[in-house]
Formats: sequence, structure tokens, C-alpha cells
Amino acid sequence: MLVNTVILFVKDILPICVLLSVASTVVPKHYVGRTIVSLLSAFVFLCVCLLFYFIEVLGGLFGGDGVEIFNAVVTAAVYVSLLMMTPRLIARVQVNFVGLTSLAIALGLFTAIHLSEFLLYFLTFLSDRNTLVSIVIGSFFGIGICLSFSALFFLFLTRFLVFTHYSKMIAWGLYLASFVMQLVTVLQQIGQLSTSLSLWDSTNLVADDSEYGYLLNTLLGYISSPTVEHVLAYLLSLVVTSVVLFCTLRGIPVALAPKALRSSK
Amino acid sequence: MAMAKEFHITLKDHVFTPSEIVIPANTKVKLIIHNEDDTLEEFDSFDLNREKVLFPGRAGRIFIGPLPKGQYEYFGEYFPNSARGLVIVEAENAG
Repeated sequence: MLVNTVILFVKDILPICVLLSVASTVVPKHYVGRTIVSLLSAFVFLCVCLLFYFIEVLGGLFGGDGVEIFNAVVTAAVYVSLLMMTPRLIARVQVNFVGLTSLAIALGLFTAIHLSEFLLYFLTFLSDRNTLVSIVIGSFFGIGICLSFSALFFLFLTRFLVFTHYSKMIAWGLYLASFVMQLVTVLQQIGQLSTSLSLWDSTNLVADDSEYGYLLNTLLGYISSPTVEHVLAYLLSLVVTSVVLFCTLRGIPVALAPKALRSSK
Repeated sequence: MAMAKEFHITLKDHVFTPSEIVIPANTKVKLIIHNEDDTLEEFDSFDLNREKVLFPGRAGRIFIGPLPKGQYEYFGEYFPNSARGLVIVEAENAG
């Protein structure tokens, strides 16, 4: 139970920490005041409560695929709202209200759905005396892993990647594509997207259920045996992100791009 | 679109029955999992790249395949020690 709790932390809570770390690097600091954080926290709390109490009702919708469809919509919303923030990555572009609001809502819903799924597990066992100690110890380990990793990741994003223009763009493109991979998997699971045979199997290299597998899945959308649909969607996402970056670069004088980069820190 | 062939699994006392199901290779099938326990469970499989919350007293469905011949493990995320099983993919006339 202890190991299981730690695994669930890495699976459900780590993606939230990583997403918040990434979002905090592209959203201008002066937009993230105490009021915004309080409002977002209240929104997440409300969504978690609603999802927790109504998840069974939600699960019964659309022929039993309600949770998956909701998950797919939220994943797509996160992808689109992050994509809208892409210009901020390389230039001091003004963030509009719609973009910021949609990102906040998408972040809130993403956090809420992961938190509520985790709470379902957590509260199922918390009331059981036999598993209480394991759950609590596992939670300490899980919180420690998630917080320490997200702190290191945030430092990596803000201190290292910011100096290397192209690596930042590549990392951003790969991270965005990870949401597309999740979306494809969910749609295949509910039969809304065709599924072809796996193109390769790299389980021997990095297994999906290994620590690296979880991490790479969260950061890059790694799947050890992707289908053609996964690969095509991944490549398409990289192309879309590249086009947005290219258009942003074209929109500002090329000679000013490095200056814009420096001033956007 | 042709209807996918259905296969049923039941979860009772945190054990999947049958623990092994045989499905045809290179064919998309629908797996219906009935949770007869009074607790939640999450069907999870890294081999199949699937996960699904199973509510007490309800059935959940997932589509799997087409898959090449082989054995694919699945487990219940909440009770992984007892709730385990295999999807065995065989060439022809399986099921």
C-alpha cells in the first residue's frame, strides 16, 4: 500500500506540479497576484468537491465514458491554452485576458480532475485502520518526491533553459505534444479514434511502469509502444507549435529576437 | 463501422474473473469490466496503455487492440496484489 500510494502520487499529483511549474514560467509574474492565486485555488477547490461528489454520475454519462470524455476535453483545453501562451516563450508579447483566463480555467480543471481521482483512492483507504499508516507514510514520500522534483524542474526551466533559445522551444514543443498523446490514448480507449498496431516497443529501454517511464510520460508524452495515431498526432503537434513559434519570430524583427528574449525574463 | 466483439471480466472480492481472457490478434475488441465489489477500483494496464475507474456495482468498458500475439498484464490499481489478470492474444479463432 505504501508503494502504491507513492506511485499514485507520481501518477496523479506530479503532472499537476509539472504543469504549474511550466505555466509559471510563461505567465508574467505581475499577472499572478495574491487575488488571482486565491481565486484559482477557490476554483480548484470547488471543482474538486463537485467532481469528487459527482464523479460517479459523470462516469455514467455517454454510455459510461463520461470521465474519459471530460478528461479529453480538459486535456485539449490545457493544450490549446498553453499553445496560446507559446509566443510568450520567445518574445515579450502582451497576454490578453481571454488567453490568461482560458489558461487559468484549464489549469484549474486539470488540477481538479487529477486531485479528485487521487482523493478517491486516498479517502477509500484513509478510513481503514489497517492501511492508514502505510497511506500516511506513502503520502509523505509522495509529497516529498512531487515537491522536490517540481522545485528542481522549475529551477531547470527558469535558470537553465532560459539561456538556450532553441532548447527552450524544443522542450516546450515536446511538453505540449505530451498532452496530445494523452488525448489520443483516451480517445482510443473509448473507441472514438482508430487504433493501429504499435509501431515499436521500447519497453526494454524504458518501461511505462518504471520511474523514468512515469516521468518521461509526464514531461514528453513517452509511451513505450505507440500506435501510428500517437506518432502522427505527436508530429502534428510539433509542427503546430513550430508554426506558432515561427510566426512569432516573423512578427518581430529578427535582430531584436535575442533582446526580446532577454527582456522577457 | 463493424461492432467490436465483447469480452466480459468481473471484479469480485478484489479478484478479476476470469483472470485470463483470450482475444483474437489484430482485432479491436471491447472489454466490459463489471465491478461487483462495494469499493472503487481502477482497471490499469501498462501493456495495454489503458486505465479506467470502476465504480461499485457498475460496469466499465474500454476498447483494446488491435494487438499482436502475446500476453498483456492488467491489474487493479487499488488492490494490485489480488486484482490481477492477463489478456492473451492468440492468432485465429480465439475467444
